[in-house]
Amino acid sequence: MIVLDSVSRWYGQVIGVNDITCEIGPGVTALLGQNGAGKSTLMRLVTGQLRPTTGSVKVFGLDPFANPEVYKRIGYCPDIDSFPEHLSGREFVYRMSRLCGYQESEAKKRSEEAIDVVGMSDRADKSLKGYSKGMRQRIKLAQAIVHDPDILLLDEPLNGLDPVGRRQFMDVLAGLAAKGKSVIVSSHVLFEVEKMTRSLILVHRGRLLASGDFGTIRALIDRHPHRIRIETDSPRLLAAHLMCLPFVLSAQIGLNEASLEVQTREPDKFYDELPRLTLDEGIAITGLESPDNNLESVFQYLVER
Amino acid sequence: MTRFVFSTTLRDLLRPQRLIAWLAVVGMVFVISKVWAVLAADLTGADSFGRVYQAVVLRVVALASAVFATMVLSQEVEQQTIVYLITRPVPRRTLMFGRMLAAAVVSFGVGFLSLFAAGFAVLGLGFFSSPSLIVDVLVLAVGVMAYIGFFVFLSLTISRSLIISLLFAFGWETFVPNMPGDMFYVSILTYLRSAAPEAVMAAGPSLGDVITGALAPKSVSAGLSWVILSLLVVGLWTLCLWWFSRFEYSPREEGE
Repeated sequence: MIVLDSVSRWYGQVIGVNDITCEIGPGVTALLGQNGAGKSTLMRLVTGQLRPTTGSVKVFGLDPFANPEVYKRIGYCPDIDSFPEHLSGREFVYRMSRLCGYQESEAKKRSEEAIDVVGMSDRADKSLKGYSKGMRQRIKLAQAIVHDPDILLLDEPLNGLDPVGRRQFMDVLAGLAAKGKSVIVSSHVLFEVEKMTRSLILVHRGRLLASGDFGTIRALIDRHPHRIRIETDSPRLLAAHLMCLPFVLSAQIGLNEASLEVQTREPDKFYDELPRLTLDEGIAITGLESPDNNLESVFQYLVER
Repeated sequence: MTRFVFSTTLRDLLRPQRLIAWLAVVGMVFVISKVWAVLAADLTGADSFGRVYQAVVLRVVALASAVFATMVLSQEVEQQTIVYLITRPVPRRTLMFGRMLAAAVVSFGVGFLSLFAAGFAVLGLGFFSSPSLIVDVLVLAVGVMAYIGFFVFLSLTISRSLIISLLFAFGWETFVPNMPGDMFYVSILTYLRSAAPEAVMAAGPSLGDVITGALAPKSVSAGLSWVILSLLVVGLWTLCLWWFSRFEYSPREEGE
């Protein structure tokens, strides 16, 4: 659906994105990076607001810059917090719907549906200037989905939402992805994104750091062994047996003598071996977790490299 | 789609606060015209009105055009709301044309009301039977279109264009027509003055003559003025539509 080929974008002397090549297909894809990493620039390139300085961006095989054919099929929820403040939420979404080419009745119907999806039906008649941050985010999403686009690009959509709102927002996105839509969500809050998808694009200082499945990316990071914390009443005995395994690098007993932290380069083999070993030796395990098997750690490792 | 863009822009431009402010401007035109007529008692009514038309009404047209032209695009870019418009399946030239047309209509409305306020203040009810009324209105319409084209183009090419537009409307358009040599050719006001039936000839170096641009000899014929104004309108409007379709108008973040 979206193909970026050696895309770079300069703002005068400053580089926004640098030589990025990737493809984005259906499902939810997270665009991750710290503030200023180039996420918004990428979004603007894909939504045809900007032209790449070098390279090419294709959406459905078309150049997206100022291209109405592309805009018919993409919805964009920008990260800016600006609105035509004199309008009500309903009027704003209706206008956006009309600008998609729908006649009055169809535009009304579609805007009502979109407003309902984001849970704003009861507050849509209020003026936008009186909206909270969360309400503004919802209305931004409503205007992005009002024309039922095939690709939805959301720039930092979870900013300002309360926990319930975040949950609802994620459910909406999951529903859209389930319908075969391509949803691209940019964020710098990794744990939120982790709940939505395992398909990632990581950017750092304008460069593409990694792209693909979160698990695959994590597995490729061999410089940093996986840490696994095991809660057991026999940590020393378990440590002794585990250290016999060739893929276990270290084992550290917890200060409370009730846990063990193991480092391994091959977590899959470790998880295969652990049940057999504990059963054979009669060691009870009361808890098991992998503290660095999350996006935050993956991102940290990649940035440090 | 042009109709929808035009009507929504028109509604935005005619919000009550703005309407009240512009009605106040029209009221001021009436007062200034009345004072002018009293102070220039030695002139005939038609001469007085000619001066008021060129010194006040055409300036109000330039002012309204500068302000409303800024709202066509510059304001949307500064407030970052442009992003909602340019990511919709509407050709950019349609978007720009609808918005420019709305700005032109509102500016013309202000100019039209100012013309009537000035005419009524100077000529009383006799203004409505003035033989030059239709041409005066036509000059206003073409003037608005030319100014809108020029000021929108400024807003497409420079940021914070309102200040430059106002400097042009009140600085350039005041002094350039008075300059010796051929400089007066590069002023829109020169052609509006020439196309208007109320020719104001140089009477002396008074403030009124400076404001009406009457110090320089009027050497552009009415016919040529109409041709040049028409070319300006077509050229500037086409340029604006092309420019907006060709270049980027994305709000830039501080972090990038």
